[in-house]
Amino acid sequence: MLGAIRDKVEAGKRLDRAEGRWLLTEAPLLDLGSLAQDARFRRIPERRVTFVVDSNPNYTNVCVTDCQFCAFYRKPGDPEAYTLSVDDVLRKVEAASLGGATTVLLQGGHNPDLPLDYYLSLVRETRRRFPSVTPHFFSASEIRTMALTSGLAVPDVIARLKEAGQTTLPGGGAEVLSERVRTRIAPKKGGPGAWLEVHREAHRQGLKSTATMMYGHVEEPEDVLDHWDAIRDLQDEHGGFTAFVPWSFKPGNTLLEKWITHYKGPSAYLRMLGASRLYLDNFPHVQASWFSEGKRTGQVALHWGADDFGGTLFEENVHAAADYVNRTSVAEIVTLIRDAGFTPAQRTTTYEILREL
Amino acid sequence: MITPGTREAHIVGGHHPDWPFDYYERLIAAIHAARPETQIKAFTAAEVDFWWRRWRIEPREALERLKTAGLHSMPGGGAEIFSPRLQKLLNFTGKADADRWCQIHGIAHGLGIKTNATMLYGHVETMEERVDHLLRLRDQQDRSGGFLTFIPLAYQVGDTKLVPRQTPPTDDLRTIAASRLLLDNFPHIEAYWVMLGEATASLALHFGASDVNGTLEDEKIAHMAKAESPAGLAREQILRMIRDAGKTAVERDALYHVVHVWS
Repeated sequence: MLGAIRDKVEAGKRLDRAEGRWLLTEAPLLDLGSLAQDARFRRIPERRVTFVVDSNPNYTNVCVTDCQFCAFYRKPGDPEAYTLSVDDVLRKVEAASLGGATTVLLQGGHNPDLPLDYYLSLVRETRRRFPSVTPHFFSASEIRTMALTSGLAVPDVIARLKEAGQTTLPGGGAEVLSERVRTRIAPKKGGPGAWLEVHREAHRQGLKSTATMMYGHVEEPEDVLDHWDAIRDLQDEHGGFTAFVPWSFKPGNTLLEKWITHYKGPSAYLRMLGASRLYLDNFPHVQASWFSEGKRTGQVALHWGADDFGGTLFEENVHAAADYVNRTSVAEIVTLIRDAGFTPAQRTTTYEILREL
Repeated sequence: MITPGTREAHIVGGHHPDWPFDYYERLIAAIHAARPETQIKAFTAAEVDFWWRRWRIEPREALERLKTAGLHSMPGGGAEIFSPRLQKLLNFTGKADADRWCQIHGIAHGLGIKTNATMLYGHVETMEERVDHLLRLRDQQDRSGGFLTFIPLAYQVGDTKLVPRQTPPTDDLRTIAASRLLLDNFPHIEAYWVMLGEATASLALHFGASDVNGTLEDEKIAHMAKAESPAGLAREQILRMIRDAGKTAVERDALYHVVHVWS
């Protein structure tokens, strides 16, 4: 199988499901890494690893979706529930901008009380007041919430956001794009189609987005293959995905915690990254997450097919709610990338190079 | 503190100028009497050399007496890096040099005391010096054959500031793999999780390491140098580190006899 896969990778041919399954379950990890690096250098020949200076604030933790893996949300009326005003959020965007951020990844719970104008103002005012910041706002399920509360169709909501100045969407909320897994861990979020429909429409309207996957809970290899097939097919339609970003589930303080006997460690992470690079042959970038997997595993991951090191995440609240905290600075990211043997380069939200360091 | 059921006690200390040699002898005898089931791994070659310099006790005599008292094996510490240049630069000239360190391990092996070997890397040594170190250990193993394992020790920056930061995990993995290939006469290569961190130690099992050391209930040296790993890991975490790498966890004693296979 290894030889057949190597031949296909060298010929630039697409891997099939059986080959994907073998990579996920049986391929020797070091062989997988070396093949993934071949595929990575075929696409990006430079020994360059990119990163983005960004921040991840959250405008509300109010949410009615009750996902079992989430430690961040509070039900409406909970004493710990909060919703920031437009001005509060813009102050966070300003702080990020002053810190040098070019991307603000803004997400929140599914708060039925927020009008569409709230979201549109956030985008419009960010564009107007902080032109150096790209508003990388609102994951698919938030856009579906806007559609439900405003009575508009998803394409219309996306058109309004685009009109307000939005050009990219974050890829959060995909979890694992399989009916079985989403029914089990996020029953109120809808099946894989719910996430895919929003990204398809965004791509159709010319927006770019990322695709994520949160693994390491109840998924089986078949579910991961479903996820890959779904995003690879969608990428064939419009080419709107910039990157694939997998990370492992952090069980602290979640309902799902008691069902998970062991969470996935660094070997599983490298396997996921390497296999994704090989299977998702139409994705330009694969991101290594120093944040969720640890800085040292993040460095090793750059040898397993990843070509991006994620963001600086000046503010992060979602993992922190699961008692998982990890911080860095631009200087540290540059050092980590160099120590791993690559040239660091700062990029934009859409992966254009701003400067090599 | 040695709790009942502990399979191995690893005891090392500084070079105390006032404690006479029979203090150490009585220490080993007392532990052996109290915990006959515990294998005692104690005293680096540097300490054995110090007893010679301080008390004029020949290493052979010292090791014979300690073996009689209950010593089973010796740890590999104090090797640092075998380089006269660094011994001078880093000011550890008061410590047993490479020849002396190898000589003492050779004597131990001759007496039937198994030992470990280490290398402190990731500071200001050159790659050439690392290779020299490994080749000297390989030669000594050819001569005396009593090394059980090789443990590369990643330098912990702490407050010593010899280098700005710990060597990256890619260097750890490369060092472990190169050690496995060069030290063809060593039964084991160890990924010491205290220095590497759990994630890198787990990954090292794909790079030629066959051991992750132990639960280390009372480790002090690396943690005083600000090692980021937790000070002592429960067995469950050790098992996870091994299983995550897709390997079977096998509990061993100090002499690498299989105690339990964790399926």
